[in-house]
Amino acid sequence: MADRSGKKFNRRDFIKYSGLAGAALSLGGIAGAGYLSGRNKATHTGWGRDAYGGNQYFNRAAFRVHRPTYQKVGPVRRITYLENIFNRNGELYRLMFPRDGSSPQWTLKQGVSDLPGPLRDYYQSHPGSLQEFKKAFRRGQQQKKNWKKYKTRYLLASAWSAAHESPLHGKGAFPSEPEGPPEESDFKGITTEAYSLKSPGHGSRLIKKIAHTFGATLVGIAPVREQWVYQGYLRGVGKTQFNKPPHWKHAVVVAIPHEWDSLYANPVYGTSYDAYSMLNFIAGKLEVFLKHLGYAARPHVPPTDYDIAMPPLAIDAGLGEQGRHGILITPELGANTRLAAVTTNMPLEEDHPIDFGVAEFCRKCKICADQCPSGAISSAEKPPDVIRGYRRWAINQDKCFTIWNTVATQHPRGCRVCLAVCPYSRKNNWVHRLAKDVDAYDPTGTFSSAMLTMQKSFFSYPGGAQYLPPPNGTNAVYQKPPQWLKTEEWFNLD
Amino acid sequence: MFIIDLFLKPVFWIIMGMLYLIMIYSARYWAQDLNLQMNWWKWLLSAAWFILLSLSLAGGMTLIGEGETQAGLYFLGLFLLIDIILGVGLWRLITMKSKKKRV
Ligand code: SF4
Ligand code: SF4
Repeated sequence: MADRSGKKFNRRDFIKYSGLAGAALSLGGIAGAGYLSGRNKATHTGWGRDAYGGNQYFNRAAFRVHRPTYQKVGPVRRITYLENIFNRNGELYRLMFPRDGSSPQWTLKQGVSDLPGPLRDYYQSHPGSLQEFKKAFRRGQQQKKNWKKYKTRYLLASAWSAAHESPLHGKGAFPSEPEGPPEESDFKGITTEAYSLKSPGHGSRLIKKIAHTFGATLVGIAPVREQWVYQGYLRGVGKTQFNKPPHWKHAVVVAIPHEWDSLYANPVYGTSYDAYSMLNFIAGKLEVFLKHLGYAARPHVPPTDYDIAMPPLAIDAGLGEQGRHGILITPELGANTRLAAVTTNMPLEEDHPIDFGVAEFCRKCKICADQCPSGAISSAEKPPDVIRGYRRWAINQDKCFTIWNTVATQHPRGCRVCLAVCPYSRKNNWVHRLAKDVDAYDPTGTFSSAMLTMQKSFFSYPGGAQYLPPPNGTNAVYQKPPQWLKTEEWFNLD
Repeated sequence: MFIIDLFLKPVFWIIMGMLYLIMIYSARYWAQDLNLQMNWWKWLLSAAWFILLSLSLAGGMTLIGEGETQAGLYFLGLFLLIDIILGVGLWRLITMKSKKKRV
């Protein structure tokens, strides 16, 4: 064999050209490996399916802070029953449609002054809030009418959501609703003296292991601070003013993500119930487990069975920080983090809060605010509001709920666009994980600025109103739905 | 899948390792035949350039694999352009010094 100069093709040339071919093949190989890594479902945030805590990989010790990242700026007070949108909407619905079938005590034609005491006080101090409720209600009626049009297209998404929702309500719901005051219900089912732990550290390590085996992606232990406990309503008792029960010493906070493909196809293909039902199972099983060891336990689970506000509890448990969209952002799951907790008197070692730079990142990012179809998320440089003594991000819940009632779903099933578009929610493959990890360790913020520039110019987003049905939008979804949620892939639709 | 995890993944990386070995082994012959006056920092810069090129390809393809085709193509476009510019700069740096020495 001869080379270009006519010389024999010798061993040296063979090695040289093999090396060249090797370089080209290795580039091809690495490109292929990258492609497969992108497709790998094990990198869907939190879905690595490690039953022993392997998905809680972030080195929190390096980011521990003594003071949590929420800023206390004034006198603190507890969140009252009616400050929760689901509670006040429930009150309004009960006035409009009394359970005993009697005539309505309030209608949409009436105003704030016609409402009974506490509701009237609430809406008087929150101008515009009742108007938004009326708008949401009317949109909800339109949503029901629209459903005839969209039913076939979103049949699988709706069925999938309904299946996840089914264990949450009614007599067979697990965990069951507490009955009676916490001093009774939290101890119900305990058949033994509390076993004495070797140390609170042993207790924490054990309960975390167990929570992981029950399916929790993240677990943290927090003290139960009085300021995070709801006021005015206690499950098992009803409307009442109460102090934090002394046996609510610690909270075991658990977090899991939504199923990945449906999360990315929000709002119409997604649901909150997939994560909610799993959290109910995890927290319910933890309750049973703790009681078997002789300790009091009370699960606080979504969608509405809480006596404590979850995000600050999770911040205290060192799981993450609050983002601009008001939702907890964790290093592993981003904003795709759903929470539940179990309060207990088991002696446990508490975790420390962490600061991995979310506040500064959110100051620059604002993607959720740009994408939100309701304008419920602030675009301000800093959190504009002081809420119950804390300066923090808070969304306009009423506006958000109006969008739940508008998108092309069967009923107000949520929106979750802000969870899906958040850069922290991206997959845990090497590209995004590298970006998130380097950002966390970069004190200058230069890296995050570069990442954000790429994020905003490389990735495409449908944009605010596009997520709504016509005439205002196009029923856009953030990313294409998976094949298994597309009705047309499986059924004859003629 | 069991077969992929147990067999193909390790085999793939063993093959990749062999390709890298051949490439490294052949590099000094290329340098000698092209009369490049290589030293440790030039080798280091060349290796860094090749790693950057590999990561650019892998990064872009990862984004495409996860369904973010547009982002992946932009990523490839940007980083391959940077790689080409750096590659040309590196080549000039290496050959410039070589030429000077030869004069
Ligand atoms: S759920 Fe939707 S409407 Fe509500 S804040 Fe998030 S993006 Fe906005
Ligand atoms: S989308 Fe951006 S601004 Fe919004 S919460 Fe996530 S990181 Fe913060």
